[in-house]
Amino acid sequence: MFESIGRIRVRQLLDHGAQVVEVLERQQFRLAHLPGAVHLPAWELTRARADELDRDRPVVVYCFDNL
Amino acid sequence: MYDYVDGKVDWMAFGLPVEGQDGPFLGDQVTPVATCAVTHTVADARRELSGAGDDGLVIVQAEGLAVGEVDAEALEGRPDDTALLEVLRPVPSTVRPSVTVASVAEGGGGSPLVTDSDGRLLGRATVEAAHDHEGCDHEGHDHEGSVDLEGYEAELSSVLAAVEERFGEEEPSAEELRAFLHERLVAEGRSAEDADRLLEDLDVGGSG
Repeated sequence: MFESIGRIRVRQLLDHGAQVVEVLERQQFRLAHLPGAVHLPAWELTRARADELDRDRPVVVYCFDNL
Repeated sequence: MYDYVDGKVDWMAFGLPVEGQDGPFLGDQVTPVATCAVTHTVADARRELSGAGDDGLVIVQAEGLAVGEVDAEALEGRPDDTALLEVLRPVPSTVRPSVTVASVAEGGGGSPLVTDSDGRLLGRATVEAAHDHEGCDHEGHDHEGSVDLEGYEAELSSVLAAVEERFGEEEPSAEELRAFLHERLVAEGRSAEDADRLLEDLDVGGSG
């Protein structure tokens, strides 16, 4: 369901209108996030929140690092 | 759906743009530096240096990995065919573009070389020392930008003890917990608005 990708692919997807979702806590998001990212903390990943995303565009989800 | 597995740290370590309140970052103000390949000679370096100004040259390996620096003084009196490897000064530690300008300024400023996570040279960022070179700011960060963990843990223990004393084994609802913490913060001298903001930052329940 999820495809693991790297930085270069993220940039390509952004260039093609992908939505970017940061799943970290609010303070982390406020400090710095990828351009245009929306904030959707992991513990709020409900169907209702997911419906805020455009299903017709690719979605890139990211966290802090790969640990 | 895609999972950017290396996450925000990887993005910022390569100096890619971000939005938010924590900038500016060194990556935002990197300027190019003159370079010369490590396989070249002193004669090559002199040629490059003539157009490089006072900053000297950064000596790079293939793939742009910074290995050292040379300036006019280091080349003085050296035969033209001397390998640069013999005269370079090893590059000091480099910094990532994701480091904040403020943290470098608070650490005394400087002109560090900036490299990405793979060690590739991005350029140099010049940062003036902050005027107020104190230890900690008001958010519990020291001048290296790290969190004051001891203070945080002590505060957390104190809050947990107070919650246990107030509610015992009964588990408070999110609203009850928020009201209790709000009351406690105000009693400690914060304004009601400050307390609201802090609880919102901490994602304490009941804040909407």
